[in-house]
Amino acid sequence: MQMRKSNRLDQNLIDNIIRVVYGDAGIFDWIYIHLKSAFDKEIKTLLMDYKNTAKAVHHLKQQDVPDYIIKNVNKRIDATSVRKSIFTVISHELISLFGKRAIPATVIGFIIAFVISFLLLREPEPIYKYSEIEIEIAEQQLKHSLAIVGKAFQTAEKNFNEEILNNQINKNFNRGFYLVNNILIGG
Amino acid sequence: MISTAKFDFLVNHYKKKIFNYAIYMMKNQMDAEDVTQEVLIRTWQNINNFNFYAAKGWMMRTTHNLCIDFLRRNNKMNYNEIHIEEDYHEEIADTGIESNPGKLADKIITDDEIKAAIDRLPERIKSPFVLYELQEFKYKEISKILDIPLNTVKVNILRARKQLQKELKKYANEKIK
Repeated sequence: MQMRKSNRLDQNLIDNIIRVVYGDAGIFDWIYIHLKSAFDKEIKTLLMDYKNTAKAVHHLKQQDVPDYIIKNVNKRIDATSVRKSIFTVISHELISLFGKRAIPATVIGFIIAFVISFLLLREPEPIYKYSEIEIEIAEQQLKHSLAIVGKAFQTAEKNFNEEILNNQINKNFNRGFYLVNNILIGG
Repeated sequence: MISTAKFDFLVNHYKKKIFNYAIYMMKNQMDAEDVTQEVLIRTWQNINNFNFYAAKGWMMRTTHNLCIDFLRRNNKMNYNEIHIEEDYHEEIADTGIESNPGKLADKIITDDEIKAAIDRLPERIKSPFVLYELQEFKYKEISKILDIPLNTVKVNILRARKQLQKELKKYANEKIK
């Protein structure tokens, strides 16, 4: 029973050592394993063995794809391998840019920032300031205009009262009443 | 025009990953070249059918499936079962300085040795190991490519690391003899 329990602990230790050397472990596991290896030769040897292997694995270089494979593919799909039309070049570049999700978001962010900056930082419309002399002249012109209008109203009122009311309307009414008195009533 | 541009982009970005994964799975360059060509052709044929942002996973899944089909057709699958060592005391004692002259810590492991050791891993654990350690895919991506649960991916990668260590030790001991 005790043997099985210690087997399980050792397996956990080995798993943690593997995770540490392959870069999967957290910082506390990393510290724990390195501290333990400092006081235990066997653990240290195991750690160095796995470290050596992990280093060799991560330093493996990838082979380049032979060019003839791509040429064969292009032949088979009946596409020209290189068509340097402007449209293809531009669309290729745009797709390279917008192939990554972060790029469209960044571009949109820049556009929004530009628009906001333009609105905030543009120069306000100039407020024209009048001089005192210009204001006095304007007041005088206003008074003159109002005086002309006032005079026109007075003239119109006078004409209405004297010409229209008295001469045209009142006189005719009076003549009418006179006739009525004389003819109908006989007085 | 847009399809050609999309295809060119995908080919330029992922052809190396496809080719190198195929090499590890097929264990020889000629078969890997055939698989790579087939994957690229299928990518072109389906260029307008899949989500462009998920193309990487789609292409790797196609590569994996083609490799498996080819290996099965030619009865080249490595069906060796992996036994997890239960006697851990022995394993740790074995790494002691006195009992293990082929100790790996002091040895420089060459690229050929490590590639040969990876080749000897069974496909079930080699695939996630190669995708994670060499192709730099994440656990979740590997889970989708191989269509296996996330925990299985982690367990298989751990097993592959242990098995790789054993293979290298065996190789080191054989060299000394």
